[in-house]
Amino acid sequence: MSLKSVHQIIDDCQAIFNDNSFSKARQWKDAVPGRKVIGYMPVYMPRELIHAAGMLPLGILGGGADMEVIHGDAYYQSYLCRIPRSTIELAITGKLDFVDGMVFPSICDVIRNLSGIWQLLFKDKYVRYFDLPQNFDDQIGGVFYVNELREFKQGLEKLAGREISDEHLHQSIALYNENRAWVNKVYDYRAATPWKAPAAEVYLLMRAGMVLPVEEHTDLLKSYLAAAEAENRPLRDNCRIVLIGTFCEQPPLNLLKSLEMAGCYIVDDDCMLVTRWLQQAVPTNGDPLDNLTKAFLHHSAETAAKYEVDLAVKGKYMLESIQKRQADGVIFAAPSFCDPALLDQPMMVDRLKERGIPYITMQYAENSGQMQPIREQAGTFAVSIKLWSAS
Amino acid sequence: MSSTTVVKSPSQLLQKEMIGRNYDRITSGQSKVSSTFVPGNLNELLMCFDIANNLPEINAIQNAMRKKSGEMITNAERAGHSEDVCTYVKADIGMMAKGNIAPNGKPFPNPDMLLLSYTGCFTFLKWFELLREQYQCPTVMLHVPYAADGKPTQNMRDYIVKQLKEEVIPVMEKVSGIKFDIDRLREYLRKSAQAEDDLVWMLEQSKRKPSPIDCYFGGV
Repeated sequence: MSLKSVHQIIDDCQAIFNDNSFSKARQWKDAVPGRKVIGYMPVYMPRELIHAAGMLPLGILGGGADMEVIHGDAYYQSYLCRIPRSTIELAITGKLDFVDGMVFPSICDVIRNLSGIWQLLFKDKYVRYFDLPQNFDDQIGGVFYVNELREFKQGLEKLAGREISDEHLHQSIALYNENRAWVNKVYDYRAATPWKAPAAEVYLLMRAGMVLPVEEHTDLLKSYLAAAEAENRPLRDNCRIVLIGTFCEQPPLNLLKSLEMAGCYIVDDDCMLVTRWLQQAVPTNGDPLDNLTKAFLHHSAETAAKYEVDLAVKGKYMLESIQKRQADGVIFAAPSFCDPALLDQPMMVDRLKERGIPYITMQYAENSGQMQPIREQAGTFAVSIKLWSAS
Repeated sequence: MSSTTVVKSPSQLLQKEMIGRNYDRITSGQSKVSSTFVPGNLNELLMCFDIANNLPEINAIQNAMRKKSGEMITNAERAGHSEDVCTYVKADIGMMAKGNIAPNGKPFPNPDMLLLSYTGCFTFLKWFELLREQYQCPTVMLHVPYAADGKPTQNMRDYIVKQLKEEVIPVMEKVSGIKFDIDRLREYLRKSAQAEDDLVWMLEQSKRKPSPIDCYFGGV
């Protein structure tokens, strides 16, 4: 295990975050002839299949705060979110030229149609729209999903030039189970001692997992926990909030920093849900595709990108998170023009109102630059919680 | 102020009569009512159960044409719905807050069911989750997968058929008290196919010079 300090670890993660050319993934590919890289978009991707094919799953989360988007605006109208524009920009400017395929999971109309644009622009690349079921019955959505997984697996096998055996899949599932367990440990650690694991650090740590091989990322998580525990950091008189709405287009890193600087410890969030989408370890025996299907249907995170069949269950995931993380309130931060997040928000708000849980709402784009209003809003929220709530 | 006589074409009058007839049926209290969507609607299936369809997009357009939807949308935004999302949704939610009055001046009844045909517009999913919060009535969804390569696969077809047989139809039977009759569905589908052929033939007439179809006629 690395003996790096927390600052060294986070500096490394920051370098990965800043690098829109994905040098780490390029290095991984160049290290062994024949290696392939598959890009994927939020919110969920069964990365185990890509890994089992001997390929690197690469999470593409847009171009971030600093990339100038020129070409991307020509492909999308102005009243849509920014992530498709900056993702197109990444591709057109050659930053994804080493990527052998792109997979677009179903999240909303915009990402779905981005898959179509990709098909038109990059005819020589493997492109797949990966439809996730909105029906969660084993015999209906389950059968559909397992067949989609099978088709996806066949596509990867063709690209890899080799079969993906059940044994390979079991091994990959075990590695991702371990990774999810350590991701959850980091989240648990932050909730228990948020002053020792600032939100921006945890975010950078998870972002590194979008680029690094899973084995390397798990080691990184272990190193961080050890290093963070050794670090002496002051406890602030902050309130504790859950951040909701950040599951697709990412908030600027400065937004996360601003929230904490304004007095709000982020004790849970829905950034990069792919790292903890499956809530339980996936069995590593039996039919691996069946196991992944059952995990998706019955043990996956609730998010605005999913249809909730049961009215009584709507919002349960958020409420459990508030309770488990002992949060004082919720900050809904949604990307501008994000249909899933913004349409879901009023229903979540109602559940908070019924229980008297404080909340605020705000919007951002991945390149939002002016943080002062956000600091003022979050600061006022933190103070109001301190003044009027039990905490 | 001088009075103006508005001359309406027979097609406009026919359209008005047809829409009015559906609103009278919905508001009569004599039929079970399902809210559902225009794209990918399952109208033939609803007809098998004598269920009237209430289409929120049509309601929104009707309100917009009578300059009523602006206030409804603003009210929905004041209630917490984002300025960034589809105004169809907000017109619908704002209409509820204004008493849910149909274009015929009578109040809409609460729907007996929500039939969510999710055929590609993600907003539909959340729209009917929002309506379900209000009406708390049986809600059933048909998820139609996206055919990214332009052709539906056998897996997609099987998924749709299973949803229809095992979820959509049983809910309609329960709500309506009418048993599903596949021959009745076949007959409605036959008529729909004929109507579609007729529509295509009619649209083809626009190739004639002069064209007998004006913009309004073609649009509706």
